[in-house]
Amino acid sequence: MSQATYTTTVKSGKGSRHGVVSELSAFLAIKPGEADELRAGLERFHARVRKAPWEVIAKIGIVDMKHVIFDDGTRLCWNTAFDTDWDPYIDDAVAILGADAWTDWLQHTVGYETEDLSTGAAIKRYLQSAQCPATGFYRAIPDLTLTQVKQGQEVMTAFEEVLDTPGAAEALQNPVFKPLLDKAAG
Amino acid sequence: MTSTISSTLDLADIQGGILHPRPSPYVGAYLLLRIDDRRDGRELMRRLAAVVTPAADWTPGRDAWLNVAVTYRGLAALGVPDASLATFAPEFREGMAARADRLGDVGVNAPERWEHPLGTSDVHVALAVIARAPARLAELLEQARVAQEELPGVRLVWRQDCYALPTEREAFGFRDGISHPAVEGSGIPGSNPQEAPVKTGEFLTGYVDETGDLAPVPQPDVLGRNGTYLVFRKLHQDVAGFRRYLRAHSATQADEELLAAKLVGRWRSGAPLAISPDHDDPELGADPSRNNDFRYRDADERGLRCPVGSHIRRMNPRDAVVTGEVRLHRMIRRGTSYGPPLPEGELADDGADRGLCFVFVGAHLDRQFEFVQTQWAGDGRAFGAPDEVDPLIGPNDGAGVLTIPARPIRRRLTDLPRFVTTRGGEYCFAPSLSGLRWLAELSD
Repeated sequence: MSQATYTTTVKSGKGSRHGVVSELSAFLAIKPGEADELRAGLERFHARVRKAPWEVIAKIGIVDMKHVIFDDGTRLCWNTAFDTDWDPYIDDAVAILGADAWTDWLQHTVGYETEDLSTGAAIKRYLQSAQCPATGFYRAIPDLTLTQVKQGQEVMTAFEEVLDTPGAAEALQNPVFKPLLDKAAG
Repeated sequence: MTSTISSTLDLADIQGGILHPRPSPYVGAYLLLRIDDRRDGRELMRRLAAVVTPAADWTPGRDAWLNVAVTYRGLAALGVPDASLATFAPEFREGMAARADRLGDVGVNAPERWEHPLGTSDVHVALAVIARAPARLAELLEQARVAQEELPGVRLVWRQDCYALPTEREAFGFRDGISHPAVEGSGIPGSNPQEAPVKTGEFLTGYVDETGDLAPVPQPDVLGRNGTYLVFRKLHQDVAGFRRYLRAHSATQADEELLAAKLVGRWRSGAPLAISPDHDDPELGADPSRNNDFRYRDADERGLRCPVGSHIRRMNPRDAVVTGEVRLHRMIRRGTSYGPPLPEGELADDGADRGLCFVFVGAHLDRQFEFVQTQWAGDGRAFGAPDEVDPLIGPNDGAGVLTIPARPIRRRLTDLPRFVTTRGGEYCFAPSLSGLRWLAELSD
């Protein structure tokens, strides 16, 4: 049995945080001539994330994610934000999406060798080595998690349904509903 | 007597307390030792290797059990070479006290307020001695005392007596020690029939874990393999404060019991809210084949039965949707009570020290114990409630929040105080029996 040489325990401490959300920014060099393959791999990766059920996204805690290929196809910038801290959850993110989904595009970046880097611990170590602290990180609504945003959306939908129901105006006259009535005007 | 358990693991080499739930009831003692002379320390390891109970011999017919673990400083005191010490997990090398800020051990929980010598450089070896009966325990401790007199280079620096009552109730009055995962290959069933066995490498060093990875094994293999990390924490429980809080927030005795159950996730009998949401069911609570046989997603996703923020749901969210992959954060717990129970119905604190000797067993200090402690108990973001922490063991300050989903409207507590205080603890490594023998054979 081969001896793994990676540790899952090192914390980068490089991500910035605003409210409940933390960010990860990483800069990776693209293997010469592999920008198109990387682009295709990233399209598959993003399609996979977009198609994932809400439960999967909530488990990863991913708020947003973007990849930018720049410098004439020689470098890749990856920016993403999470509901939680990035470091404790990277093993989870790799396990939930599957190491193959990550390897599909990471294999086209310099230093990533699939035979060695197919586990969460290895991917984490690799990404940490490419991670840079954000000088500034801002979110307009920093204090809500994805789950809270989703709940808020559901409450708003339910409230609209109440307002569309005959008799709603009369029912909301009860003083208990004053905060809701204040929001009911439009 | 040798166990008839069918296992693919070398149960004769693995300490029994790692894989087996403790017997109950029992009496026991945790002993912490300091090694002043490495030759005596090595002789201690040799003697312990001969008397530690391996998993193969951990049978219900025994009347006593012994397990041992060593701190990082203990390994150094035994003369383990630097090259070997460097292969242990960074958290273990640092020790619990050094990681206090990360763990939330600040303020009243801070190491400078811990019970001496916990968290200091004096803690080298930890022994857990447990027996069915007090007389047998006394006999074992006497044997240990005599053995120690022959080894003047090893000093007893701390002793904590502990026990498991026949009712298996901990200090707050709840049945404890119900939930434990099945370890793949051990042949020992877990307590939740709906949970697949967890990969061996989550709980023993040297095996593939749930990430598909073979995590680094402390070197040499003979020392590092078939061992595990162990977290020991002495946790004071404010039983009177807990009872007063329940009383002040309930109209009737039945309300008190329901509120207590909502904080914990189980009724005091051990019956889970997920199965019995409206009333206690002592028969269910006492039935090990049923009292942990549940999940959350299908019947209780919103926590109308068992609040999403309750203690047991934070410790193990099972199949509920939370941030994180639950199987990467499973823990084996071997907690046990200490101190005299507060008399039934008493609401005033009698000043006695009582609580829980929390013991965690797992191969990954960071993504098991530290993760659950900081992300799921000490933070609410993973559950979509950033303002809430664990209502039972979390660092609440009198303004702690818990949302209790209910129809027609939810209840929200906004004044939770702290019920549990850290009195100290340490990170240890529990080697295999061959690891203990390797330590015994070290030479300068």
